[in-house]
This record gives sequence, structure tokens and C-alpha cells, in this order.
Amino acid sequence: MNDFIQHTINGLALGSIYALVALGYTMVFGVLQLINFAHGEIFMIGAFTGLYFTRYVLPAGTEPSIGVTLMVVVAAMIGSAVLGVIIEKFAYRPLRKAPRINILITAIGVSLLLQYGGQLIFGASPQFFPKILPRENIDLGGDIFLDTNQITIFLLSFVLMVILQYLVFKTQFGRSMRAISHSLETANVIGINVNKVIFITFIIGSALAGAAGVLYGVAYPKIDPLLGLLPGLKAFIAAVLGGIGNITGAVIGAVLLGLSETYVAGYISSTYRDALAFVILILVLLLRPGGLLGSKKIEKV
Amino acid sequence: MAFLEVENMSLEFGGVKACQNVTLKLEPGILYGLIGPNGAGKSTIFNVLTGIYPPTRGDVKLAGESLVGKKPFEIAQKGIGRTFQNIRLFKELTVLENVMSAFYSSSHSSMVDMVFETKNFHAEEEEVRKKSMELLKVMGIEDLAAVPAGGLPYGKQRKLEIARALGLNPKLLLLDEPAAGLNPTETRELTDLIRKIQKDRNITVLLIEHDMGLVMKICEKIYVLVQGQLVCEGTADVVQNDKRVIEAYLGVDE
Amino acid sequence: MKMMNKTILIILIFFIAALALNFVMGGFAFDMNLLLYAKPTRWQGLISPYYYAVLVILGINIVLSVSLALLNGFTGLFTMGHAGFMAIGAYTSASIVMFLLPTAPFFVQMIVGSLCAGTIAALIGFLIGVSSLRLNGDYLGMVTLGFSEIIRIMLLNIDAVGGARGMTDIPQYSNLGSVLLLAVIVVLVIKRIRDGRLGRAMLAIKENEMAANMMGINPLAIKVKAFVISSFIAGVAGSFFAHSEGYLSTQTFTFVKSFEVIAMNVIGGLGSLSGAILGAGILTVLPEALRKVQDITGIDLRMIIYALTMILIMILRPQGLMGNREWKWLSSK
Repeated sequence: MNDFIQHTINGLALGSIYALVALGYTMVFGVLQLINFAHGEIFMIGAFTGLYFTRYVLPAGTEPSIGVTLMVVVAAMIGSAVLGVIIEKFAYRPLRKAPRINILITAIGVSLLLQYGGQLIFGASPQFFPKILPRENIDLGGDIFLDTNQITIFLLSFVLMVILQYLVFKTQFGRSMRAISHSLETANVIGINVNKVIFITFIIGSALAGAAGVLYGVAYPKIDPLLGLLPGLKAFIAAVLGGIGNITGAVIGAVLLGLSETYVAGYISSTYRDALAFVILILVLLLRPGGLLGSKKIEKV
Repeated sequence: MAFLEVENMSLEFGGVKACQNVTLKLEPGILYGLIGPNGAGKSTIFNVLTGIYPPTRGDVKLAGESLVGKKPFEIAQKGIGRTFQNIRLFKELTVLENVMSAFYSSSHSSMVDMVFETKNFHAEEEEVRKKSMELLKVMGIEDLAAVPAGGLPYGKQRKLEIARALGLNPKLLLLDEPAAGLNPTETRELTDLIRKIQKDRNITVLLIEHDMGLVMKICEKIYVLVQGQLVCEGTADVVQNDKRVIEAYLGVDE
Repeated sequence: MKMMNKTILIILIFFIAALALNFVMGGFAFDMNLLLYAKPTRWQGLISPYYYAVLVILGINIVLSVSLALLNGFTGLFTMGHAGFMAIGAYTSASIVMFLLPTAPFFVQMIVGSLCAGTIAALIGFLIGVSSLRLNGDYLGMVTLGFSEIIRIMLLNIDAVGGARGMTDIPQYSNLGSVLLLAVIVVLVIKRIRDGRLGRAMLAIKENEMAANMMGINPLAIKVKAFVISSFIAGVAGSFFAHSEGYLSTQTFTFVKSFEVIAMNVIGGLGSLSGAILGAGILTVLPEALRKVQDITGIDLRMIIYALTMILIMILRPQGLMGNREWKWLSSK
């Protein structure tokens, strides 16, 4: 039983990181009907922004603390947001009216460009994410541990998600975003500045992924430019599981995925852990393409 | 037993009653018209007949056999051909290839035949090509055979749609506003052409049209649909003098 | 005397050309092993082993590219799982040859190996196709990606075929002659399919599936047919790949590989058979040409240039280099 609780804690932490990334996928899909393949790399750049910020901007010898961590997270969020916006403006916007496959291929191209460009710039070998958070394990009794990493992840993702919730459901921007995801043309016609809303959507989605990047770096300190590949794909699968385009769905899907991955690795074997995500993807797409909260009606051929 | 029977057919989507208790009896070899104000549900009936939507209630029978639940291609293979209100040609294929595509289900050459270009294959290709060219000739567009369908002027595209549907060798031809967007000369020409095709092949034709001149001229019997319900059926005279029909059309149409 | 079927005549001509090519390229001595199915061991030919290897890769890439074009360009199905079928073919052929036919003559190994590779790939393609081809657009892409990755992970976990270490010492009998002959045959087959009624049906579905349905064409059946044919050919390509490299690793068959093939189609032009070949040519030669740059600067720019090229083409010339057009000899008219 204690194992189960530990796995659950671990799974929830992993799920929270997935959730922050999944939100970006789902938001962009909502407004552009685009699977932003490059999103995993935006997550990766968040991690690296955090790394280089700590290494070159913070004064040497800075003690790890919550304050430092927050600064690094903010820096990463900015870094990722900037990248996200550049990608939107130069790679996706010109293709707004093009057939779907063109944008998809471009997105894949951007993803690969960032991966290998990252290898070029940061070097292909893994680097160690600096220690910015004081590491302590809290013993909850019965061999169950909660470490400061996980607490930070829970708190930070909770706060960010609450802010997002407010933005999406209680502001004009959020209303515009939801209008666009229903119909781009109608939104245009009723005077919504579509370009601006999409722009801001990318900023928010990318910032969240950037934050997730730092949290990932803190939890799994060995980072390399290809780190966005698998987690990115999994976060996407989480979004699909919850219902692509549905914000609440993204969170639910991510938590479910994080939990099931951790349980599978803990109770069955870690070799098949990655395969689980793909199996879930296939099951969802074949049985219920709309996902758990099925927002968009998938047209059956 | 009529050739095509629609029995008390209703179609509802989530509260919207697109068709209510529609009953049609089409006898073989007759040219029928289906008219009604915009949004009355005429194309919807076509969609039910061709298997795009299953009816919520009621039945559709072709020569006694129920078509409900069958997929569109199965229904097409049974001999119901159809054109579309908004043209749905295969734009990148040539005019000839568009018509040839309708012969797919009636052809038999196998993969082996195709890959090795056997005599079988050549013979069948030739036959399909010949038959397709004949259909193009009937519609008067055989000189455009090698042109990509997307490059055709509007009037000729409409003709191609009909030629293609004829490629199925249909016993029932459903024409959805074949004269939409045509000028009066083209409309006259098409009207005569449709009547000629119907008589020559002795097929049943059901025609949706807004051009009353066309309808009254060639349709032997007309059904009138208003808001998903049949309000009148009969010859042109009957329909023109029917009170409900006149009411429905007041102010609308030519 | 009856006129031989034109197809058999064409293949015979290329068969002889392939023999001659191999003979000339690899060595002027006439050796039974230098015939169609073995790599020349003495390099006395016209070109260096390096260029020989590049040509072999070119041949395999052409086969991969045109088999994807059948699915993507002709039937309009965007899939991202081609690498999976290549992997199935590669590992199947290698396993059968190494475990079941280790002492058979090269010729038998090649035929049995590639046929089994293709068949198994086609079978799995059938299963995947029947379950997934109801989806369209991005969803089909994602599902095929998922299946491809699962196949890869499963292969990774089968120790009998080397697992993470990879499979080594695979008999290397695929040589330039056999690969180019394969490419010719495959291109011919696909051209014939496209020109016949199946091709018309595929194009009709790509253009307007609803209308095709109305014209008596069963969309799902045609899509599955296209998928199975495409998987079969990809499997055969995989088999020739395995027997040319002599070594297999699951790392070769990731999503990046699928994307490379998609890139070949896109650069060449999605609806065009000639484009698929051209794209394969460019994307085989370009990385090798860039290898020179890599040698000088020590930086591997190849993937970056790949990716940039893809992006630029999508933005600036989305129809690819050939658009919809074909070279004269591949045209159907």
C-alpha cells in the first residue's frame, strides 16, 4: 500500500509536468487546429534557458532557494515564450490558409530544426541542470517520501493552472480564444483580432512549457537537446487522451498518463513504460477519438 | 410495387426535423421533379436516398429491396446515380477520367492484370474508355476529354457531373439542381438534353430544381416539399394551381 | 511466334542491365558471386566503394519514396508510420535468412527473404489499416506514428534479434544491381497501378471521397488496398536495406526515418511519381554532399539542412519541385 502511495505521488508529479506541456498543445490545437510538433522543443528550450540563465546570469555561488528557482522559472518562461512567438510568426502564420498537411510538415520540420540546432548550439552531450532548489526529502512515514522537487512541482503547476483557468474562463481574451476555437471565420467576422489572440495563445502555451522545462530539469538533472522528443510526444498523447482542444481534458489526461506510466514502471516493468503512451494513443484514436472529454466532433469518414 | 419507394421517411438531427413522413413512389421510366423553397429538405432526401444519412424513421426501397443502412457506394452499385448541388468533380483528373472512375465497380481486371498490362487489362480499359467517350458525346463535351476537370467552365462542369453519374449505368438518376447558375440558353439546352437522356435510356429521373420553367416543361410528375413535408404531388397543372404550393412560393423564385 | 508480354520484356532488359552494371561497377572479373545477388568483393570497377554504397542507398530510398507516394500522394492518406513497415521487413528478412536459411544460396535467400518481409509487413499493414483507416487527416498520422513506435519498441525488446545491441552479421547480398532492379520493378508496378482503374479510384478518393463513394467506389476498401501494397513494398525495401548494411539497429527506424521519406515526397511534389523519385534523389545526395562540409567543419549540418529545406519548401513552394507533373516516360497519357 505504501508503495502505491509513493507511486501515486511520483505519478502526480510527473503528470503535473506533462500537464503544463499538454496545455500548450491543446490550446494551440484549439485555435489553429494544428498539432504543434515543435512544442516539445519549446519545453526543451525552457530547460536550457533555465540552465544558461543560472550559469551565466545569476552570480556565481548563489545559494539554491525557492526565490532562485522562481527567478529561473520566470526566465525560462520568457525564453520559451519568445521562441514560441517566433515560430508562430515565421513558420505558421504564412501557412494559415494552406492545406493541413503543409503546416503539419512545417511543424515537424521546425521540431527537427530545433532538436538538431540545439545539438549544434548546446552540444549533443547531456549537461547537468544546476541545483537551484534546496533538496530535502520529507518522510511521511511508512517509507513514503515527498521531496522538495515534487512540492515545487505541485505548487507551481497548481498556481499556473489556476491563473490559466482564470485567463481562459474569466477574461475577454479567454472568450476570444474559445470563440476562435469554435470557428475562426466567425471570430474574424465579429471583430476579434485573430492574429493577436493566436499570438497570445502561443505566448501562454509556450511559457507554461518553459516552466515545465525547468521543473523537469530540477527533477531529472541530466538534460540534452533531444529531451523534448519523448516527453513532448507523451504530453501530446495526454492532451489527446483528455480530448484535444479541451483545457480541462489536457490536465486530466496528463495526470492519468503520469500515474499510469509510473504504475506500469513500478509494478510491471520499465521497458514497456514508453510503449504505454503509444498504446493509449492508439486506443483513444481508434475507440474514442474525441478523448475523455470529447470536445471536437471527429467526423467519421 | 413502384420502382423506388420512400415510405413515411423522417429524418431528425438533434431536434431539427429535416424530413417528416415523406412518401414518394417513383415508377420506372418517368421523369419526376422535386421542388420547394430553399431549405425545404430536398437535398436531404437525396442524401437519405444515397445512403449518406440513415433515416430516423421509415424506409427506402429500390425494387422492393430496402436501402436503409447500406453505404453510399453499395447504393451506387445498385444503380442509383447522383449529381451534386455544389459540384463535386475530381478536379485534378481529366474529364474522361472523371467519367471512367464511375466504371470502377463494374470492372473486373485484377491487380495482376493491371501490373502486367495483360490483354485482359487492355481490353477492359479500351471498353471503359469507349463507353466514357460516348457519354461525353451525349453531353456534348467530348472535345474536352483530356482537360483537367477543374479547368472547365461552370456550365460544362455541370454536364460532366451528369456524364459521370451516367457511367454507373444507373436505373435511377438523381439530379440536384443541374441548371443552377446556368444562363437561359444553357438551361434550355440542358432541359432538352435531360429529357433526351431519360427517354433514350428509359431510366427514372428525379430532378431537384428551382427553375420552374425547366421543371414544368419536362417533369411528368412533381413533388412539392415545404419545410421537410410533402404538401402536394401531381402533374405540372395540378401543382401550379395548388393553393398551398402558391402560398409557399409567394415572393420566392422566378 | 507470340509477342512476349511487354512487361516481362522490360524487366528482362533491366535484369541484364543490372547484371552488366554490377559487373562494370564492381569489378571486371566475372565471378558467379558478382551476379545479381552479392556484393563485389574486389573493387576493380568504375566507381569507388563509397559511391557504390550511396547508389545502393539511393535505390532503396527510391523504393521507400514511391511506396509512400502511393499512399500519400495518390490516395491522400497522410501517414507517419512508414519506418515501422521498413523495420518489420528488415528484421523479418534478416531473421529468416539467418535462422532458417543460413546455408542456402544467395539467390534463394534474397527471394525468400524479401517475399517474407513484404508479406509480413503487408499482413500487419492490413491489420493496422483496417482498424485505423476510418480516421483521417492528422489523426491517421498520429495513429500510424503510434503503431510504428510500438513496433520499434517491441523489436527493441526481442533479444533474439539483438535487442538494444542490434542485429549483426547479416548476409550482405544486396548489391547495386539487385537494388536498382528492385527500384525499376517497383516504379513500374506503381505506375501501372496508378494508370489503371485502382489508381483512378485512389485519386478519386483523394480528390473527393464523398463523390467517389457516390460513384460506387468503396473508400475503406481502396484505402486498405493502398495501405497494404505500400506496406508490402516498404517491407521489401527494409529487407534489401538489412542485407545491404549487414547490421540492423532499431534506432534507424524511428519517426525521423518516416519523416525523411515524407520529406522526399514533399520536396519532389506530393502527387507525382517522378517527384517521389526526384525527392529521393535529392535527399540521398544532399546529405552525402554535405558530408564534405561536415568533414571540414566538424559539424553535422545535415539534419538541420534537411529540416530547413522542408520548412522553406512548405512555405515557398508547397507543391514541391514537380508539383503534379510527371516526366515523359512516367506519364500516363
